Amino acid sequence: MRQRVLAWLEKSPVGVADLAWFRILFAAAALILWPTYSWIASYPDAFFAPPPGPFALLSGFPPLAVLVALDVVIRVAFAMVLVGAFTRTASVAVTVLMMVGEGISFSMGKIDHSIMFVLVPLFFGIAGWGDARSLDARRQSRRGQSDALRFAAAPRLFAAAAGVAFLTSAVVKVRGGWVDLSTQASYAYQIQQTNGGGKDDWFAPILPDVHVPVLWETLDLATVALEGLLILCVLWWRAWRVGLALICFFHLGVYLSFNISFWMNILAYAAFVPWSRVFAWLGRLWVRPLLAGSLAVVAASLISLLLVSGELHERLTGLIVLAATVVAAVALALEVRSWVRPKSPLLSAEVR
Amino acid sequence: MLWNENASLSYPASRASVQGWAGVHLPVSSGLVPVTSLGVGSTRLALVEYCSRKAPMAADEGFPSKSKRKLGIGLSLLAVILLVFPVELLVVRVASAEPYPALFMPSFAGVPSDGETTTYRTIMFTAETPDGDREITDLVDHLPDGGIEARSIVVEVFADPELYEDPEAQAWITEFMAEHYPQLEATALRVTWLQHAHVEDTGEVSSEIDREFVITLGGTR
Repeated sequence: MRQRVLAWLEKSPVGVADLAWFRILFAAAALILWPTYSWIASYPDAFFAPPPGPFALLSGFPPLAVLVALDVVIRVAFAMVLVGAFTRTASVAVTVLMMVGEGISFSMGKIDHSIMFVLVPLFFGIAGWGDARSLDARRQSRRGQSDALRFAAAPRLFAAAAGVAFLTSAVVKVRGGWVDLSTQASYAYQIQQTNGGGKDDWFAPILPDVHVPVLWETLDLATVALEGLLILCVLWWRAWRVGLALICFFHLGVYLSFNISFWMNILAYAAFVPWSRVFAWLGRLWVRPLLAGSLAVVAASLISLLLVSGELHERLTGLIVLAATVVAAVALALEVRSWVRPKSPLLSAEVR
Repeated sequence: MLWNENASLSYPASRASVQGWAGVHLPVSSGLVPVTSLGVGSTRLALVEYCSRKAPMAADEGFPSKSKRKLGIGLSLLAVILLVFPVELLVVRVASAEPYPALFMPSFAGVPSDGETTTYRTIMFTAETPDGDREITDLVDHLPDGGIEARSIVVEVFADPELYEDPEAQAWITEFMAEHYPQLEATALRVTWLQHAHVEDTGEVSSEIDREFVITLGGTR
């Protein structure tokens, strides 16, 4: 029995090679997109309203010098994670530093739900995401040869943490009346976001005119069900992949309607993508010069355009949501294919 | 207890916790554990080693102490993660606020609708100047927010006039207005929270003042 439980805990959908790619993507995105904290020093302590927890022990915002130092050290730690230098230490440090920064920032009265992103380096740093494609792996050549994780239970534990986070959200929604059939919460929030929050991208301006209670009530119930049941998917990796894929579609819906990207959560889910196979496939594409050249030109043009327009952050986070939807669609298609053709070679090495 | 067949040697399964020992795979299901890859001399050596070995794992029925430790750590961490759930809900109930750090996703708590009308609030700023009142429409854009949605900062910063009884807060808003709207020479900032009611069936919106207060400018930090 114990053997089985341990095997379940340590069965991972990703190996060191996958996590190494994920580490590079994660740290690169964090270096570009992670917010700074020095702006907080602009506000007086009269606005200091920390959430319940350790930050309530502070008497006010830290001075500017401390916040600037925090910004610098976080970025240095991200860079170390990116290149894989002292990866485990840097990963743990980056989680602690992000948590401190977020805690201070949330003392302005609003909590942004970035916790899964913040926890990623802690879980996967310990799991061994620095054991390949890193300076550490080069320095100690024995690493990088095995695809086994150092702390193999990390993916399952991280999935459980995400499941708990979503379950908490579902419980708060149920208590708040989301499953009450006489009101449509998602429609009410749509009106709030569009009319009160000034959201005017994608479908946000037109959705308040779509008053079809059955549709919005279905959305309410589906949201609560998805958030509440994701924790059960932690038991089986295949169910987890389907659950995460559906969550990505949910995030796409939120992005198109509320214009909120939740890019941090999406990058956290990317820990469960078998990146080494994705990059192997992309590598095969890359050998076709015309296709590779066209893609490179399009990507370079897009980035230049966004840089010039000053919308890099906004558009990049939107792009992350759209890319996640594509990955989710592929994952779902592979799952369906595995039900239809259980011995598909594409899926044979799916779960380690 | 020895069983020899085709130059192989077997051990009783009850002692089969030697899995991996001497590089040999020892299945435990058959009741007998074959050793097939060793020669005759090696077989004898293996037998001697086996018999003289204290085998600390043997008493553990095939579950090495390293695995036991890993299982203990893994299950403990899983239990901690699962226990976070009731603890968080308890904190929310007691403190009526979301804790941090905590495992939370955006909850969109409550439903701002009674089934017929959705309510929401917006904020309006008016500068009182020597030339009369001037509405300011882009104040939110100037608030430092570092990537957090500026609206959430506004809710905190302009929620309560009592905040501006603090001299530092009053000095801050004075400096803010002087920096971003120097041409206005504002003497006060009027903050108006409007409550809107959106009738869901018709889309009609009615508005009324929910709260209004004036912050006198002039303090220095």
